[in-house]
Amino acid sequence: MSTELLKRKLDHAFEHLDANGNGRVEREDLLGLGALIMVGFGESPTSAAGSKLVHGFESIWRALSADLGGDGEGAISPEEFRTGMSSVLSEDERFDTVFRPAAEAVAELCDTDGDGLVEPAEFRLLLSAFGTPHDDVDTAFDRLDRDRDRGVSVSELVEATRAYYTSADPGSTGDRLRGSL
Amino acid sequence: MRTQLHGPPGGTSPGIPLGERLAAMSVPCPMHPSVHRIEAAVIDWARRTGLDADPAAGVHLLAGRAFARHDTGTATLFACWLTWLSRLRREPSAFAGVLAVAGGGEPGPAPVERAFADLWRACAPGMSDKWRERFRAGLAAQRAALLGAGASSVSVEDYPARGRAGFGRYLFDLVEPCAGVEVPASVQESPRWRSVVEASGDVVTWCDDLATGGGYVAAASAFLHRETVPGTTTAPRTAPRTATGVTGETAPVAGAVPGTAVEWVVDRVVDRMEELWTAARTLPTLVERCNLGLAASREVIQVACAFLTIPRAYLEGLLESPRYRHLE
Repeated sequence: MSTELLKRKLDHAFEHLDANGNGRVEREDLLGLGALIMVGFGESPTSAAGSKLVHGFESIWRALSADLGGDGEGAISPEEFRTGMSSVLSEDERFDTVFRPAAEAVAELCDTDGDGLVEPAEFRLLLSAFGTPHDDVDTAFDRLDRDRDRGVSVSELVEATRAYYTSADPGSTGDRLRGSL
Repeated sequence: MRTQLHGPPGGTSPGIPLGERLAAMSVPCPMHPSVHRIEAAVIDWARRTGLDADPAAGVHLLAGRAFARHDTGTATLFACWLTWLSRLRREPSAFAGVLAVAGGGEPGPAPVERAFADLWRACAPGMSDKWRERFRAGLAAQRAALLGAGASSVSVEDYPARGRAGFGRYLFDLVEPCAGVEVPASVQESPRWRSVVEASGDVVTWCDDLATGGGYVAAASAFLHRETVPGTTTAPRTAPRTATGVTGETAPVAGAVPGTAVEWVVDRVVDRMEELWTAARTLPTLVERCNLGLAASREVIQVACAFLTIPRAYLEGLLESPRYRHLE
């Protein structure tokens, strides 16, 4: 078990959210990421899938902010992000209520043809919204696509998301979900 | 395609509201949590500047939906612009004075000029010369459209550009200063971005035409009357597709073939939404190619999201308005 690994993953996730690199993550950062994913996959804030995604990201922000004693309007530092995410994701029940809806909304959006599989091009589009370098994307996909069928199921992607944010085990499928650490 | 029709196959079911025909407009817009504060602030601003603010006009509701996840100031500023725009449309003689203020002049005593000066001071200084030029061009185009020939004399081919100008295409330019973002020129001047902005404006304008029975509906009615073979009910050869779902009873169109004209325009709205979405989904690639960086890319996409939200927000406002109860 490596809590250092988990810390590195959460810091990496923070960097993806903190797009302007000012060391603070605000609500707009999270919603901006959600918007980039949503528009890239051809959805509208007023479509069912787009609305689900935006609501999911909004819920994550509210939960994080509430756990840190905020009112939803402030900014979060890297340390607070680690604390908040650990708290929000420490129990399965909280993952399911807070995080899973957004993770599922993203994964379902990626499955553009509705066949239950996220393909490499779709995964690339997703990770480009996070700012993941293109070279890292294929590595991350290969890590997820263990049976080498050029597709990752929606449920596998959701579980990989959970593993990325919660698992301290080196070698878990989600470790490279956001690129190299 | 994400903008597929929601109507039943064959299009035999009557009276399906437009919002339900479009997957991209299928979910109601969330409302800004401080919508009542927005309403109060707009009424207060309108009184101070001498404009009349009619809460029934629902500008706070439109702004509250279009900017539901933005701060209260953003939505309030947009609602104030909508209030001013509504007044300007009723006072086209004020265009000269407003254009003078937009060019750097002092406002005259007319409330519509003073109100514009107030809003212009709040928005223009933070924007580039190009943005100000674009806004002034939109204002001049609206003046020309409103003071020019009546919409009924405009052909269906010419109507989209004319309708866009007459509605006030600069309204969509205002999303940027209200949101506190200026879209970089490299994106702003690209055909893809312009397609998104224009398509959003067209959908809003045409929804308004569907509600009033004027504009595009009037032009379509004249067009269809010419094209339909006398004594038959043959559909016009240039109609985009067989209309589905929306009946003539849902709109107040006068003329020879009102139901058909409404259906024709509804089909054009559906097509235009599809074009809006086709253009929008290319934007992430565009901002990446323009090397905006992640932070600017996300800001620009948030502006695009406003363009994607406004058509549904506008349609909901129309359906709530006491003026358009017949649309329900």
